[in-house]
Amino acid sequence: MNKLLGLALGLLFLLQLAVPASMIAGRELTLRKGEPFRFRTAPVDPYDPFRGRFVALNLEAARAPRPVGVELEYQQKVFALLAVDEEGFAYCSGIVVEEPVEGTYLTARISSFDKEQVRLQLPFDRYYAEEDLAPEIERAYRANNRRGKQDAFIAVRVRKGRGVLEELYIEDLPVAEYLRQQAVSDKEG
Amino acid sequence: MSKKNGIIWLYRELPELVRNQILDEGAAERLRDHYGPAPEQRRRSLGLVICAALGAMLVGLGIILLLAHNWADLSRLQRTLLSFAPLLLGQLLAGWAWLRRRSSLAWCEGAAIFLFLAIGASIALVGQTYHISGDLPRFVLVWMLLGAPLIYLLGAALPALIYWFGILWWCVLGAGEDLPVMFFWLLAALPMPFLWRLVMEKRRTLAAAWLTWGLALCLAVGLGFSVHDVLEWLWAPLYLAFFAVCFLAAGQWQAAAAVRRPFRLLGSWGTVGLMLVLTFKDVWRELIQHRFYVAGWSAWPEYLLLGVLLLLAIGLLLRSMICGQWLECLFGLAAPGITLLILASPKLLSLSPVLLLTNLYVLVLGGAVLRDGLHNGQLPRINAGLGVLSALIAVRFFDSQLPFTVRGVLFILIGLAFLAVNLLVKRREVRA
Repeated sequence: MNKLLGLALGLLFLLQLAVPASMIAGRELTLRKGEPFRFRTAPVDPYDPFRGRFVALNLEAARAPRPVGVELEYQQKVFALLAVDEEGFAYCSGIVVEEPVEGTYLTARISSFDKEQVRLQLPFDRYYAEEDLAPEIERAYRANNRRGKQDAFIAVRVRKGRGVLEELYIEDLPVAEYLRQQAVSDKEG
Repeated sequence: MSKKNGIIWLYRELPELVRNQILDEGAAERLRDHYGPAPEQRRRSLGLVICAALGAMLVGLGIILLLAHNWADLSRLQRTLLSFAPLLLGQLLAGWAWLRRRSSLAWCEGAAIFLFLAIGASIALVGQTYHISGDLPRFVLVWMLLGAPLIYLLGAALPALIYWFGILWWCVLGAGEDLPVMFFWLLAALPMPFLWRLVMEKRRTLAAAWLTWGLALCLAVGLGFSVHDVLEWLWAPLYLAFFAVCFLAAGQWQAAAAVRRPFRLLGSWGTVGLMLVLTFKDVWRELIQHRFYVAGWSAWPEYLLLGVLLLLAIGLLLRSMICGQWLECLFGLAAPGITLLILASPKLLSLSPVLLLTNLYVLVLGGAVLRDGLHNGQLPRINAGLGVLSALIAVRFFDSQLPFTVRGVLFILIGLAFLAVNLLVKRREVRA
């Protein structure tokens, strides 16, 4: 009985380790072997009680044209086909219900739809940042946005339907670097 | 004084009694033989368990907050390694407690709580490192399921409390996202055998009482969220049946009073509260307008739940009738009665007699509780009965057209009746 209990405890510990380990393994594989894409975005700063502050990403590519003759449901799992526009940013060229055999695609869920468009919940919709940094990022983005520029984007790696966020950029600089430069220029200015 | 405390007191007194030659050494020895070895002093170990649990909880929550700060200077590899740190530390502690200190409640409770929180911290940190999108219900569910076996393996009670509130949280979040929240019942049942064993073995009554409080509250809130789609039509029979089961089952349960109290209180006050709501005309109009089978076949799990609860309530009611517990029966009647009234066609039964019946029911219920309290000389029960009666009068006078002066006088009279009865009972107690 004692041995059995010990074994059960050991198995439980392994299972507890396996959950974060499998989460890490899948994402690391995507980051290392996935295809790179850039998605235009607008960051807004909210808060998660466990994972801390993050900037919510309002991705332009989260909209796709509604496929003809397909029944859709709220929260339905679909596959968003990815394409790149002339400026080099990714967008969803369409959605399909069956997993595609070729091409790059993302697994997503439908958050809303009307006659023409479908809004998607993509697997990356937030960028976690240090406590004080997240509101700074939103402020910097807004300031940048008011000057008529909309240069925020995220770099993402995509592999087998999974997308993993690599970095958030403002004006082609990683966001931490951008904030550092802003601080320096503010001091000089 | 409980028997245990009595023995402790007696053993403390024995040397003094022998010294004063009230008992001889032989008699003292025979008393010791009769009552067996001195029971353990419970207070110190209880304090230790509470301190250990609280300490582990604070440290665990502190670690979650520290990690939530999101240290920008750490590389991805460092973060990944760090994700496992709290989890491994918790597992080491729990493993050590299991191997070396299994008989120590303080160690087992503390280690289990710490590990439970560490699981959440680890998954959250991985989510943060890889910017994983916010599927909070799934995160909570995985966390709770990975922590639940600790309740049994380490025999720890507080993790069960964390688990129940976690599952409730999942249910509340899931209701908003159209998840299959009916699984709440299955999930909530996981720690129940543990609680059952504690209660049946009459061990750790304080922990068992805490657990029943947690369970009662979780089930009451979870019931509404788990049937959120049809709650609009089913709330009255569903909650009345649930409260009846709580009240009657706890009444017939052979367990310590402290363990039964949460379900008794929830069941009785829940029934009274709902029945008071059901004395309003507008509420009945809504109930009769949408018949409760309107949801159709797709809502079969909800109807099944209602059916099971109603059958349980009726079964327990019949048992109370056989035992001749009339006050219990009166409480248990509400659920089947209201269900029948809702099911009866509006042509057969117009609104006025229904309202009259519900008002009458609350009146009789309040009167019966009051009578029972007076009969047994229990002040809390007397006040509860008076409370029910005055609540009924209060809600009636809020929705009627009576002038303020009449209402004012009536309220003063109720208040005076309250004070007078309390005074009388206190006097009777003093005289007795």
